Amino acid sequence: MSKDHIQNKIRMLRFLKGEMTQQQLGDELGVTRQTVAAIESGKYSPTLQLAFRIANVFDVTLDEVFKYDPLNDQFKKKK
Amino acid sequence: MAIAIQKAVFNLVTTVLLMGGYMFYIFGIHGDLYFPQLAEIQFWGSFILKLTGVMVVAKIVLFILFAIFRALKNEHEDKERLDFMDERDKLVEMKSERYSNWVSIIGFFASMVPISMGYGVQYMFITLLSFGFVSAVMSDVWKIYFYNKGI
Repeated sequence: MSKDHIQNKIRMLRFLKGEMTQQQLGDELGVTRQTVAAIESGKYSPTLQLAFRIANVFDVTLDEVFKYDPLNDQFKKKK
Repeated sequence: MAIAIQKAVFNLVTTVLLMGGYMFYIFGIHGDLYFPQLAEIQFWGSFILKLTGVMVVAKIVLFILFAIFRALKNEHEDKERLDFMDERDKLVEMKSERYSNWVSIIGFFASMVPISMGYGVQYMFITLLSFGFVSAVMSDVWKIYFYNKGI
């Protein structure tokens, strides 16, 4: 059930932040290491609040962490 | 294995063992049960009440033992709190509970079928209990599935 239309750069951002571990990131966000791993692998889309927290930890904007690809989204806009 | 999955597996195993043990205690050891008794509502009333009591007490005791076992096993490691739930855990729980509630509702209506067809009251209770058991088991199975496959 991975969400191909939402990609993230958390792995790269962790690397740039001195190879921060998933556990350390989870502690800063107030979630478990497993949740960080699930977000990173695209198995879980975080809430808006958690997404902002992630961006805040890395000191970047939201669109620098997450990328939305409408072509891969199965949702069809009603005409 | 993640702690949330460990909890779900533990819950699943204890549910199956406790239910199996209780059924064996009632119908196995107490083999003196004579079948006309199954048609009495009084028997099923006390059966369900005792089952609920046994399950609640046994689950609490087993969960405490599970927590102690984990604490001893991971004495020198970073301890994860057993009761900690983040937003993903809550979402997984909500989804699996919702599906298990559907099974319970279907079970309730299915249990009305034997009654409406004029069968004995025991068939209604057996159907109700069977669906209750399946819904409890499926709740944990779905949790394990969602944790592994993603939501």
